Amino acid sequence: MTTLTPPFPVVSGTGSEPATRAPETDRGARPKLLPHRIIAIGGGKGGIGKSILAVSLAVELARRELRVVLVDCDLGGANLHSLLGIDQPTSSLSDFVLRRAANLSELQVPTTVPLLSLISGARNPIPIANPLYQQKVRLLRALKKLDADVLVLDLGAGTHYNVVDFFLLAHHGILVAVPEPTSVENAYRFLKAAFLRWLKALDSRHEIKDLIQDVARAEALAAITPAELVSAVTRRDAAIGATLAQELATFMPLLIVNLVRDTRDLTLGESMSIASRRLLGIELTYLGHVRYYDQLWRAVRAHRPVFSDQLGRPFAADLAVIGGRLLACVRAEELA
Amino acid sequence: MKRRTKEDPWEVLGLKPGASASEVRRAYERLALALTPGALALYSLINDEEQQRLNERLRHAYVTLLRATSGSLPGKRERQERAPAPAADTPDAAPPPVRSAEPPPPSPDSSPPMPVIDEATEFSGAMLRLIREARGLTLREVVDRTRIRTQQLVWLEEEVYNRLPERVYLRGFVMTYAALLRLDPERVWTSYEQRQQAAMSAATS
Repeated sequence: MTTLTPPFPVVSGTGSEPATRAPETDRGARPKLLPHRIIAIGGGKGGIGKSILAVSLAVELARRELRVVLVDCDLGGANLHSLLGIDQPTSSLSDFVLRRAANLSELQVPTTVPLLSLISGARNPIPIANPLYQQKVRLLRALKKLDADVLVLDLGAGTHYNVVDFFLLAHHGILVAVPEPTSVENAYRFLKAAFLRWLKALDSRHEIKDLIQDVARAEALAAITPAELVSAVTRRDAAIGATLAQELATFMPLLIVNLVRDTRDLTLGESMSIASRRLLGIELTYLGHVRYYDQLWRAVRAHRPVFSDQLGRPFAADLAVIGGRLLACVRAEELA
Repeated sequence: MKRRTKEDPWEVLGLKPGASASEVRRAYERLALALTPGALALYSLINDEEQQRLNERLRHAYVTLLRATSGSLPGKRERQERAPAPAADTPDAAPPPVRSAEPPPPSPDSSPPMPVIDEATEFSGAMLRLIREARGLTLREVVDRTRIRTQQLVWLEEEVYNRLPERVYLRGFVMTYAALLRLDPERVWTSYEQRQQAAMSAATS
């Protein structure tokens, strides 16, 4: 399966990633290694190791000499600081949302990992779990201004539009699934919810609201897949259908399969990608899997950082594959 | 089941036209594995009927391309050796015009051409299906004559290994089916079982 196994010197750059190296020459002038990228990690279900994955991925990207800010957007129950083995920061996202902090950079705290900092959500009072859309947009605008190469947003569970909005507003949305029917079902549900939410945003951009609503009503929106919606719209108006198809092609979520215990499940990610393309019409790009590591859970339980070297090479290799493919996607989009 | 004659088989398998026979096989096997009935990746996405249609589309595209890329010779050798005389021994077969609704085989025959069968032939499920069709037999007729259930035959041809019965029963099915196709049952079973075991160990290694 994993044909990509880059060498794994801890923390220092791998040297095997051409494009993270290439821009290094002009690094002095604070040009960016990458255009400022926001990567959101979500998934339909709780308890599938999303937060640990977000931390691990952020560490992996920092290891590749990218300046990474991990943002705890699980606005209901954030706790990334403990996974990083640091004390609860005194300020958090809620200070920004409630306008007690003018700048997000005030909230940024360093971690023990070079180039990785954290914006905590741990102190968010419950009402912040449902910010208004304007607050979200303001937050996102501020996130885009942060001085960093990559922001990794850890989203909460569920398919609530708050979660979905962050997923869509990010440059890249990563969906996490585990090899269980409930998780797979939730992943597809999340994709469909994201697509519908995203269509609403489209409405205003192309004056096609009426047509989409019309079609949606006629075809019973809840049951319709993106592909079916596009073809239904096309039947009524070929030009708008073409626009919609074009937009659908830019909706490109990514997928990570987490907690793989059985070797048979190593093919799940690719299969889900095929199924999503064939049956939903959504191009779901598979980034890779992370196997189940007992040591990881022991580390969490012992309040040790989850990225320690003791986790060993297989875990590092899993993440290196994912990190490499993720950056390839980022760069592909940059070129497009 | 035989409606979609317009569909481009290359597109169904996600290939560029002109791909080689082995690329066709790999693409099909990859898709068939991902979209196999009961696959975890399909959970909540598809009902039985859609599943059946999807698998039929894939298989149809595969068989069409397999013919186009490899077995398009009329299989003279095979015919001389075994003198199959298609349809002659199947009085209950549907009349030829019906069968020609199948994808147009590059042959004037009413049945699709017989694939080349030699020492190296691998008796995959798809190959058995090709031979069955070349013999002018429908699934229905095979069911009637072998008493193997339709679903089992479909799975046998599709190589849905996790749905097929225990080895002893499967062996019986494959050998009975092979005999009906006038093939050497032992050889067919050996070949079929090899593929099955390779696939199973690939899935668990």
